[in-house]
Amino acid sequence: MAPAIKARIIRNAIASLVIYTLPVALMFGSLALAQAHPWEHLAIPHTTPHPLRPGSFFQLDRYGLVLFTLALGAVKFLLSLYDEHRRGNERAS
Amino acid sequence: MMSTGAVTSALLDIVCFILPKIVVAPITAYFSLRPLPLVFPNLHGAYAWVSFGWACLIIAIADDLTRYWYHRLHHEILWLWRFHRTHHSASYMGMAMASQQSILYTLFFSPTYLTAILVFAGLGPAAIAVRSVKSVITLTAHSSIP
Repeated sequence: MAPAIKARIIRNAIASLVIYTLPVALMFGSLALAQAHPWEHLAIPHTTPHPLRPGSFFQLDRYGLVLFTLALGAVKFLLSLYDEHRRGNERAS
Repeated sequence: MMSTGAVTSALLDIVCFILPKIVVAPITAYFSLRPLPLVFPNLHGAYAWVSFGWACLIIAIADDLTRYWYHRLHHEILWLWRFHRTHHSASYMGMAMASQQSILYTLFFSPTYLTAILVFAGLGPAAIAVRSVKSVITLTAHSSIP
C-alpha cells in the first residue's frame, strides 16, 4: 500500500474513533447533567411504534422491506425505468 | 425476448437479492446465540437501560461508520477489492445491485456482527428501527429512482 494512502487511512481511522465514542460520551454527559442513573433500575422493555414494532407483518426489517421493494419496482416499471440496459455479463468496461 | 446474458444477469440479481436473506440471517443468529454468551457472559442485556433514542443514535453511528470503513477498505486495499468489484461491475443501477456482492463480502459484512453484539447487549429494539430505516435508504440509493 502506498505510504500516502496508509497515512490517510490511519488519520481518518483516528477521527472515526472519536465519532464512534461521541454519542456514548454525549449520553453519559447528559445523564451526568441530569444526575440520572438508569442502570440502577430494572430494565423496562422498550416499545416501538408501528411499523417498526417487532412481530408486525409490515415491520420494515422483515416483510415490510420486501413489500417496499415490490412497490418501488412497480413505480420503476410505471416510469419505464426497466428498459433494456443490461449488457451480457456486465463486466466493467 | 431476453438475450442469454440478460437472463444470466437477471438470475444473478434474483440470487443476490434472496441469498443474503436466507444465508446471512441464520449465521448472524448463530453468532449471536452461541459464541457471544461464552465470550461476553456479562454483556447479555447489560445495556438494556439505554433509552430508545440514545440507542438509535449509538447504533446508527456505529453501524454507518463500520459500514463506511468496510466499504472503503475494500476499495483502497487491492487484495480486498477482488471481493467487492462485483458490486461495481454492473452497467446499470437497480435494487438488486445493493446486495450484488461476492459471497465472502456478504458473509464478513462487519456491521452485521457489530449490530449483533449491540443487540446482545440489550439494544435490540433500536437495532430493528435503525436497520429498517437504513434498509430503505440503501435500497432506494441503489434503485434508479433518484
